[in-house]
Amino acid sequence: MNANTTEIIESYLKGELSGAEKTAFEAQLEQDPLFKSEIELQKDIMNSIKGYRKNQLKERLNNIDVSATSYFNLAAIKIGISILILGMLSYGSYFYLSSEDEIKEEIKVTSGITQEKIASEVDIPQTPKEANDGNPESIKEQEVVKTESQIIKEETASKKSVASNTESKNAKVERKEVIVAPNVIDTFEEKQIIVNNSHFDNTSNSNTIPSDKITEVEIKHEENKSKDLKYKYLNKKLYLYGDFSTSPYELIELNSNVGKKLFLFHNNLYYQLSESQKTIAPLAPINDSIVIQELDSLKAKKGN
Amino acid sequence: MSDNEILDKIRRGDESALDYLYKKYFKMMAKLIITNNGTDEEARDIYQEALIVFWQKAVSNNLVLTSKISTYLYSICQNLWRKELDRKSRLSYEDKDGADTFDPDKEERIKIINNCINELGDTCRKLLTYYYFDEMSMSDIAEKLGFANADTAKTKKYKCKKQLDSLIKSKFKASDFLD
Repeated sequence: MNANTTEIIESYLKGELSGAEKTAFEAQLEQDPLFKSEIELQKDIMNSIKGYRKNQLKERLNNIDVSATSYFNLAAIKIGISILILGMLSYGSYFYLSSEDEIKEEIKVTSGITQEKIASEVDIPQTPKEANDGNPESIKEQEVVKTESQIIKEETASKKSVASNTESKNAKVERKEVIVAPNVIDTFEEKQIIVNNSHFDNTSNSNTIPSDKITEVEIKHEENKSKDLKYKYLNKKLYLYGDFSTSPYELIELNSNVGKKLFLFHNNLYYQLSESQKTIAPLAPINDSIVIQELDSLKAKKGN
Repeated sequence: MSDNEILDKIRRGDESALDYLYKKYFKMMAKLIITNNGTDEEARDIYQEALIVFWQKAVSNNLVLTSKISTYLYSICQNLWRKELDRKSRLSYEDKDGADTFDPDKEERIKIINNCINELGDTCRKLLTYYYFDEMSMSDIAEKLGFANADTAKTKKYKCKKQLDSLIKSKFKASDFLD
């Protein structure tokens, strides 16, 4: 095959032959099968060369990382994590960079708080034995709360001075701490009240077990504005979920020869609590009138 | 980079323009595919193919652009994806049929050809690929590959092609393919 033929073949395969030339060429193809197979081969070769180039470009593009631009935004997550780490580092360095004196002061302040906490916890369990007035208790609580807030104020004041002494990046940290403190008071306070209630309520009457034996039920209240009341009983602690603030609630314990049963009275409804309820379950009101009667009498006996 | 700057780069054979377009519009194209029953990987494949179609047209001066490049690329993606979806739905009907249209002889031939292309020297391979796919002019090829002029390039191309042809044919003889 000479150069001329090759050129014609290539022109044909590229579609560059004129109408007449093309017809002539194709006639030749039909007459000469060997020529035809040669053309077929040349066609395959040309396509393969093109294919090679296509793959080359595809590989080039495929090696470019565009994962950050797809829906799964890896870059955004990476940025988020690095900001978090930065935040944690600056928080850590804030403590590290504070001078020794200021650290001592902080330790004093925090230990002061723990001491207060211990004191108030010791105080309150005794009060149910007193007249059910509520006044002595509330005063104590108020005192506790007051001193708590005082200490917190001192704490933030000292931390503020510490912050101003140390280098930058601590502004964020300081603000964070102020936000955290009030929450501590809230839950603390609530816990106090609830502990009161439970201790108080469990001086309830029982059928066979003498009444001066108080069964202590530790209650944890998860602050929740939802209307659905739920509970769970885990590790001998009663967890209550939901909005109980509409009316006070009462725990009633029924002791019989088949065992102990726990009931919750709230908003004029009785709910039975199972001590084996380890997962969160909704509170189901009791409809059985006989049980309700019995529980009513129990409640009355308690002298509420 | 403006659209015109991109086109200029492509006509000069500057592949970095492709990189740029790929990164810039990937999200846009991926969204089209993914919201139309496509996976992330399929989105990548389709957009890469679309870019290569675009490249070939632009570099061989066969491109008539009446809109933004992104719009043009988007419509290529739409076409390619529609074809792919059709192919996928047909496959589910013609599972067994597909196997019958497979030509083992042709497959073998193509495999040999590809092997030979890979065996070529770099310069020859580049020359041939630029000539047949990018449809670069001989003078452009001469410039890009460092030949003296267009004629030198043309001669070199002829020689390279001859080399490839004989390489392939010798391999065919070895596999006793042509009877």
